[in-house]
Amino acid sequence: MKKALTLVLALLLCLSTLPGMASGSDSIKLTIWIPKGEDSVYYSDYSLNPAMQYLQTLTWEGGVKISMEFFVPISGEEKNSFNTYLSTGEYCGMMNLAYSDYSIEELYANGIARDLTEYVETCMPNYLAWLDANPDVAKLCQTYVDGEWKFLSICGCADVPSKAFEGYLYRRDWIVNYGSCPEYVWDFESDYVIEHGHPYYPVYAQAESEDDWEGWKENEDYEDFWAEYGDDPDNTYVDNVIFPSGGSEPLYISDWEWMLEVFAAALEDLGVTDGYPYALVYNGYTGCGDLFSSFGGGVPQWARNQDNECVFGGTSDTFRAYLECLSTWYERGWIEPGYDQHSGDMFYAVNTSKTHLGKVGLWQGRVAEIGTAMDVDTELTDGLIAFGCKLPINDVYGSEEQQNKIPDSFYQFSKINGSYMITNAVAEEDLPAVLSLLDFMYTREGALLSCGLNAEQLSKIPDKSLYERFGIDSAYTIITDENGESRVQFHKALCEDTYLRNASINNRWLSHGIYDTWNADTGDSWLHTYSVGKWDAYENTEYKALDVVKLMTADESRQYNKTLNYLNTFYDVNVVKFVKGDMDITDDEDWEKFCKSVNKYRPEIVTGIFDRVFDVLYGE
Amino acid sequence: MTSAANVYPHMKVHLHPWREDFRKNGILYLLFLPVAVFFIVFHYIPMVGIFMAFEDYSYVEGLLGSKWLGLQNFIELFEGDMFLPALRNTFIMSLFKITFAFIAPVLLALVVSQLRSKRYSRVVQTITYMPYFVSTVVVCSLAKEFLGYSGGITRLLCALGLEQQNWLANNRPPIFWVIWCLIEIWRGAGQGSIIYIAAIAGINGDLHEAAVIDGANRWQRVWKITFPCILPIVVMMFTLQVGLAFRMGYDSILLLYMPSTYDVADCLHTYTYRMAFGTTTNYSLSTASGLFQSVIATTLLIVSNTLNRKASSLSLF
Amino acid sequence: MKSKVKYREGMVDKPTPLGAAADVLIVLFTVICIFICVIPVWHTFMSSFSDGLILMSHEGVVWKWIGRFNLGGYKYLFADSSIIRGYANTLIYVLGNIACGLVVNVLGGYVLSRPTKLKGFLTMFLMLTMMFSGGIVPTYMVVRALGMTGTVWSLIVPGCTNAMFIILMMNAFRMVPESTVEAAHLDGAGHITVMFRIMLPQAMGIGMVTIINTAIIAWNAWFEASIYVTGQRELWPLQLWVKQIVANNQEFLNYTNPDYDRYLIQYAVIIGATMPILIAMPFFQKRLQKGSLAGAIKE
Repeated sequence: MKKALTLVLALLLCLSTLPGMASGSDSIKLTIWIPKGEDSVYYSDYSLNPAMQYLQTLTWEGGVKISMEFFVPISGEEKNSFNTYLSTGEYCGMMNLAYSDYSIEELYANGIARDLTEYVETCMPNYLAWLDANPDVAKLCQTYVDGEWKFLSICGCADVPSKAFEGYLYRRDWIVNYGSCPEYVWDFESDYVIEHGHPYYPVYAQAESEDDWEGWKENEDYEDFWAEYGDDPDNTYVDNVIFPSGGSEPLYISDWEWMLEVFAAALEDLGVTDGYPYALVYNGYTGCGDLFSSFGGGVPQWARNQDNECVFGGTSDTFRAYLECLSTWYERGWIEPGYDQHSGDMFYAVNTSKTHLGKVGLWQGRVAEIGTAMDVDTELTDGLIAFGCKLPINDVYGSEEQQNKIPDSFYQFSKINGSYMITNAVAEEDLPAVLSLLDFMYTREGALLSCGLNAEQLSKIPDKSLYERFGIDSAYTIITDENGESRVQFHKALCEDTYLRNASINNRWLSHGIYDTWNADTGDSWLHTYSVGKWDAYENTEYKALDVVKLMTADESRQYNKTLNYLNTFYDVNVVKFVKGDMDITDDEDWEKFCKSVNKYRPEIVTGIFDRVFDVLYGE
Repeated sequence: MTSAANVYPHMKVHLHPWREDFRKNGILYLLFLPVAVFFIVFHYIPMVGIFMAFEDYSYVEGLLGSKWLGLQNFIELFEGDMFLPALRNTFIMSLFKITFAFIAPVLLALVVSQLRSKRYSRVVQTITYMPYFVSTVVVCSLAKEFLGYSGGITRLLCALGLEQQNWLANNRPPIFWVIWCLIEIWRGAGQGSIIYIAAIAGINGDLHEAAVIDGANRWQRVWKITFPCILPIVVMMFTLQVGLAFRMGYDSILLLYMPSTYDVADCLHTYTYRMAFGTTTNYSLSTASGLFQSVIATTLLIVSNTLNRKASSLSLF
Repeated sequence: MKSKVKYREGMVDKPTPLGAAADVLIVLFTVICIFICVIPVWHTFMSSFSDGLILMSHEGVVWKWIGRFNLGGYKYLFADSSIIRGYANTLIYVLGNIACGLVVNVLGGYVLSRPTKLKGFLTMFLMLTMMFSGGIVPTYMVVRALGMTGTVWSLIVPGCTNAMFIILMMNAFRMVPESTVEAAHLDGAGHITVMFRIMLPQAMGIGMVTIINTAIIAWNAWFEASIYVTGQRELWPLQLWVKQIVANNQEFLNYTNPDYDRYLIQYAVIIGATMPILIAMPFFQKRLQKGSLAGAIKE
């Protein structure tokens, strides 16, 4: 009896704590699940974020205020948290779908996600205006159900994608100190180049020995390399490096080879035996393409091309040309002999301690490593300056098909920054108010919350302690630059500490923005801007197919995963054999054997699945 | 005094007819009720989750609503190229674990019991316990540091005339298994030994006293008194280990293995990890793999229990 | 009594050269063990005081802090009171688990140690729970149905013991001479008195082992908390804060102007989260030896 009573009590307790929406007269509660919050140093709960506080002071459609309650999972347990909420029916009113294993259709079909179509059309004019202005992503924000397009989710969108935070870095100081200025550089206008394509680096040596400069022109800037720091090493590193392609930055694979040769010479001269010119990731390729796409485009797995067709790159000529390049580099000693042994390392599997020791010339780095950041006064890192560079264009390996193509696949942020479903935990009558709040985020004022609060907004929020603690009166000012474009300039304190900046602004919830918020001035050095600009130089036009996996049916997704897992294991074991020369990439027989093994896993079935999904999404 | 069974004669189960048993032990069964309720509520009821192994489980649709697949998950698991090597490696590694990694804590406990200073023995216990607290990630990164191409242990082995190499990248048969086993010993020996140390501390002092009077030396006393006295615990732990070794302790392999050592290092845990936690998570597949491992582990447990009963009349159940 | 202790500890041998050599060998062996076991902890300890940027590029064991002596990692760790709160919560959970677990262990262990007909079946009943598990969600459902989610009970009751501890206790109870139990019964002692007052003190050596292990499991637990009390930060145990702090700082390299002290946090938390229980270990162990001694004397 007592036990039964306890159980009943417990159940009551349980019901009363169900998250969701409690309707009140002038205030409603919106529970929101976001995958990530901010450092607890700044505040314990995301609803205390200044931007969120400000939103809670405003009044929405129907004259109600909305109090926001955030549910943030523990890092690494996002999927568990999301799934537990779903399976127990305790889900929040608004949930980020980043960690969902289920398509929005499935969530809708099971009565969890709400159909918002009707309300979006009446309550979200700004959102609709944004979608109209961005037809390229508008369709991704809707779902095709029962023969019509519906709004089942709300996307966080931005006019311009976020900037890259990683890409290739190389040691500019070694080029300056160990490279020698090429006497001749390419003559892009010469008849020879127009007819034969570019002469490339090995030809430079050949041309030099034979003194045959067909297709080359004299380097007008020919003199010894030099470089110097100015007063401020971050801002004025002056050098006059010329690459064989004739510019001040490496553009082609032949430039890279010239550069790697310089690094090899530098390492030899410095007496470093455990360094290497190029740090390769452990499995030899990245799923997003990157350097792979320099050899004719695409990714090693499935991608969507510009005709909205699915392309499988696992047996492509791109792959072969890429591997040919890697095996050549490996043979020349430019790649770390044990590159394949970092599988369990932190970060993304290149040997971070070696790069930080100054023993690597070219590596995939992150923004924190740009410039003099790694110069720590040891012999090898003294004077270290890391420059970002574009992905190279292949002019050496493979057939003509593989050459002179702009790299087209790499990790790049999209205009959509997270999508959210509104669940049935939000009462139907509360939808207009909630959606008017979401719509506010698409007004200029709402978008600017992604840059924090201005002085006027700050005065309205109940808890100003975060801003006051760091002496911030306004998170940003809006300036007009010399081109007449307005842009946001952050407060100095927010430029210095990215963690603080993220905590002071709306960074985790519908943090989309109009153009000038993304073009904000965060006080970065010119080299930082330069390097990130190089990483973002090309546009990702072969889209890794990942973003549509959620649109597959359960059976399709099962088939896709199975094939992908088999292939990943197969590649991890076999790609290295080509790189290290255990199998000969130039030997047709070896390559055919490889392709045959890959085809055994039936990648074409998955290609078919993707084609079906693309048809629904992009077909007329 | 050599057979533990003589020391603990009550361990032989007296067989009564059922009715008499309930009359005599009814109150005991009643006492067990809270324990049974605890395990039923927190362990047996949640076991309905095992049905996930036979479904295409969807969190959205729940256990009852998900699509029934029958044995398809198991078939998918078994038909992978790497399944058989993974199964073989798991067997071999658990064999290493129930032999070497099992003996190490017993030895450590015996050695610690022979230390003359109690204070020092507590220091030894505490410090050998330490590695158990260090997280797997740190342990593995240290292992890589030491065994890498220019690591400390590699240099030591070079001095002994072995070829310089990254030992973790070596895929000739016993090497990875030995390395893994040594890491397991290093992590778990101190923790495993406290139970034996406790058992040794609990040995009746009279036994040693009598033995000393009979002129037994230290070595004899260890083998003739200490060891037999802790034997029941050792046998019990062994029986448990046979089952557990097959299921646990493979997390570190995810951090230690690499494609070039898949042949020897891939085990059911890592194999399942790659299969089930790719782009989207396949909970059904990992449950199926877990169930498969549980069945094997339970079989091993029962077999070893039976063998123990036959060989030493010491058994768990 | 004193001589008894001496015999137990094997200190009665006449000093012989061979015996002395054995002692030296034993001590030498343990010293090597200590050395091997201390290295990683020392490495972590010294790393936590190093300069983050230089440490990132360091290869090999850190014998002494690298670069300037630096408490930056600890500064982040103790930047707010949450970690202190975490210590307090963890202490509550550890004590709660020990108390709860001990009751279940003794009850279960006692019953299983008695020669009953269902003994084998009951042992198997427990063992199966070690082998098979239904996963997170069903367990969560049960805990929720009991109204425990969001309360301290969800972190004290469900995980307080496991089959292995009960079986350990069973074994410890089996080792208590039957004569003691029979004598107690003849004196009119009931089962509860026998198990807690007569047998437990004698089996306290192994009992202590289960207590230590329960304490350590409870100390290191974070997963249960991450599911049962996700929203109730005031209930978070230490390890959950540790995990959160580490995760919050992992991506510092993705930001411009990184503070490399954040790299040290992963080392500082290991020290901060394990030192208290390491310091407590010798006290536990003293009890471990004394407890069993008390049992031996009582006889």
